[in-house]
Amino acid sequence: METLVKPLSVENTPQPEAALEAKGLSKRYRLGGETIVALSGLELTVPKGQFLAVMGPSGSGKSTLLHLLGLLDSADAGSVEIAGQPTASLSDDALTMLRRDKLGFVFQSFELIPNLSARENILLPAEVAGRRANAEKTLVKLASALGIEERLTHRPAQLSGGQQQRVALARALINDPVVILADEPTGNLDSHTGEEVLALFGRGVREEGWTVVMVTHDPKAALHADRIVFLRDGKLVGETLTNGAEARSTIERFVGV
Amino acid sequence: MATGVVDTLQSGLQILAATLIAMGGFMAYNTFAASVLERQREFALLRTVCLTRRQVQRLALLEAFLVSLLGIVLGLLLGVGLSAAITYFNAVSLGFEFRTLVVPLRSVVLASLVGVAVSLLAGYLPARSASKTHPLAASRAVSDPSPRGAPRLGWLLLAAGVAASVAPWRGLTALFGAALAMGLLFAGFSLSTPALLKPTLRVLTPILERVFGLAGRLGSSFSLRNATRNGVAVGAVVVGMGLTIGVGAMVAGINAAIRSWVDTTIVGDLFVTAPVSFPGGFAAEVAARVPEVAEVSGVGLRIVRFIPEDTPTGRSVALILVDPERFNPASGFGRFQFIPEQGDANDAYRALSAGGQVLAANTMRDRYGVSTGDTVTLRTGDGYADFGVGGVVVDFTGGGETFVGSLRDAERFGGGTPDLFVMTVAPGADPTAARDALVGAFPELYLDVTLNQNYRARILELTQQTFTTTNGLLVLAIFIASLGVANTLGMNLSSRQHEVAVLRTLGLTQRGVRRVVTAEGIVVLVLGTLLGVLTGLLLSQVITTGASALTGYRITPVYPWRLIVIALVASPLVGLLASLVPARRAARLSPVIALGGE
Ligand SMILES: Nc1ncnc2c1ncn2[C@@H]1O[C@H](COP(=O)(O)OP(=O)(O)O)[C@@H](O)[C@H]1O
Ligand SMILES: [Mg+2]
Repeated sequence: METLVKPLSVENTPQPEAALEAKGLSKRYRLGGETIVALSGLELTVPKGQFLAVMGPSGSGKSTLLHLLGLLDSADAGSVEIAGQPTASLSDDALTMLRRDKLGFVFQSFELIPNLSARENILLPAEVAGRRANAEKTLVKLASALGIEERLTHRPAQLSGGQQQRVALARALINDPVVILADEPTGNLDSHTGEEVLALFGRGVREEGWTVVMVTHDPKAALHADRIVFLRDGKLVGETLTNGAEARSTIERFVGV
Repeated sequence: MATGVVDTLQSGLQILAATLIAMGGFMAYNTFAASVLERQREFALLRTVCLTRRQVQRLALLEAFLVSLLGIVLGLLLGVGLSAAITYFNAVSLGFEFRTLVVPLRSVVLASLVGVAVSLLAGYLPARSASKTHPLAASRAVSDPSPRGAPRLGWLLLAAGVAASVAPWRGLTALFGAALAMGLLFAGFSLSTPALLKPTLRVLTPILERVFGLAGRLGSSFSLRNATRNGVAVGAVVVGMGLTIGVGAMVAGINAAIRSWVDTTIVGDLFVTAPVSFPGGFAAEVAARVPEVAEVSGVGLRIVRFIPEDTPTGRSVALILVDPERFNPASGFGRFQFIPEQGDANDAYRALSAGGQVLAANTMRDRYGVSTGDTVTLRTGDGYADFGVGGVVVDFTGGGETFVGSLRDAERFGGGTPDLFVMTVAPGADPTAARDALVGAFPELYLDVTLNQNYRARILELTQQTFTTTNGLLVLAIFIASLGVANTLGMNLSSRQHEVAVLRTLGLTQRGVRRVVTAEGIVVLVLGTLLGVLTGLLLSQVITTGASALTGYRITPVYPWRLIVIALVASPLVGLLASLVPARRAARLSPVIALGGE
């Protein structure tokens, strides 16, 4: 298996700065008397400006990885660095600040606050950070880039799924994060709308320089990314770039589609 | 005499026990309504597995019934237990032997049944809304489906509650009226609160935002999200607050009545008793031996059998035998407090001087219809005899079941010398010096002399101490209501865990989350207290009427404005306290939940 992993290090070209770096990441859960190893010694570097998809069978540790990268849970061993900043041994408040300033989250079921308008939802992270005034300008730009200018006064319930996910994406971007962490962002969308949202991610990465880590089990979704890594039993077991000819066959090999 | 006062207060405590029981019923409803909302999803699931609408409805109502039943039983036990404990506590702390507690069982059961019936009626709404849950709701996230038509029914119940609290209830039916009004107002406010929340938030949100920042605004808008459930919590606060104000007005009313009675009738400078019988001619001896004393007037205390018209077996009542000259309007120092159009000082003096006549305490008039000019049957040394009624006066002695007669008739009631002497001191003389002179003049009698101010103070102190217990009970009522709010906030939280976690991923700190929950608690308590004060003012009349009927005294409510102001000012603080535990729980929620983790 290991031999299938193609080394991706590009020698001689300057190494782009890492947005996100996981070193020796391990996480165990105790369930009853049993210990379940969710992640074991995982190494992952996400360079700035990359669109990374994480694939793997159910129970392979994708969610656990996202929790740890999102600073929502603490690892048993190893570390996560965001834009070169170590996060181990930070207080809950410090982690919260990092999440607020450096990370953006996009969820499978959008998770907009139902009694706030789209606009208020988008501004929420900026307001939490006490930067509402500055964020207003960003909001205008984001809204037009994501095509939701007309929807800003609506409540989430008055928006379609695709529109809700665009609002959620705007909310994730309002504080100009280092990385956007997306958990099955198209899981609750029909395939056409899902494609549109994924296209937005792709364009943002290429044109605006976003960095995205997206968990998905949908090979078509994963192909929107620049790079795909495969998880199994808490370890990275392979990866591929999507611009190569072998991308589809690699996915087939690991996911069995 | 003080025993009478305490007996009265005893009756007041019984009313409180009854109201607490009613509150138990409300709490049962609270829990029930919240649990139906809580399990909206579960009900929806039941619908998907093919339970019919009617079956779901029956399931919900059955649960309501069982919970309410449990509420009544627990509430009854709590009420009786509490009253017993208070009786015991008072007996110990006041060093006073109480009559054993008599719970007015019928009225209490009636009151709690009415309360619960009204609550069940309101409980029907959530049950119906549960049954209307669309099967699809199981797969959807349910926030807060407010039952359709609820506000309109709420206004209707409110109107009925207001009508019930201002209706001219008479006698013991007022107790029923109080329970009915309370139940209706509770249900009405619970259902109409969602509509009231919006205007309240318009005022509160800017304040909360100023104090708590964004978290304040979020919490205040969250309170609208769970408007139905919060409505029930507001209702609980309304009942707690309403009871406190209403009962407070009643208690202050009793207090005022006793004070005025004490001020008017406890006149005289020295109150003299002795461990042995007073010798005949004691009054004359005092006049001869103690120049500091100007007037001496004996009082005899008897328990006699009184035969009311409709109770052939009769009742034991207090008979106070006084010296008519003490109540001579021209020369005596004694005073009566007359019930309007039931005689005056001249009539009373004439009646007492003539002998063979009595004055009736107002309780005798309220309970047995004894009025001026009637004749009443009392047992004397030579069998039953009729006495004319020369007037009706306020008297708190003997639980209010009292006649005042003349010492001239003492022989007919077992004879003997007076049990108590009331004396005034000569102009310019010092009461304390007079007391010492008196005790020194009769060493063989071991006289026990109480000065007027001490005598009054003792009666008022007894009253005061009992009121302290009452206040304790009221604090308990507010505490129970706050627990209800805490409970509701906790339930709001369980249905919002996910959202709280999302806020945490967006960068809201633990402290921010705590503030969101606290802001919501403050909204509920401030609105509840506001409405509760209104309810209390509405209820005080009917509660006081009920108390009057139970105790037999004429009490007019005295509005406890200070208490009201304190309650309003303190309500945000209580909201803060009530949200302490749920806020901590919320802050501890792992943000992992946001991503579907457990
Ligand atoms: N909170 C938890 N408690 C116990 N075991 C857990 C918990 N979360 C995840 N696991 C286990 O850890 C492993 C990895 O889970 P997860 O990261 O959710 O995988 P994926 O998202 O790829 O399905 C699985 O075996 C799962 O059962
Ligand atoms: Mg998962």
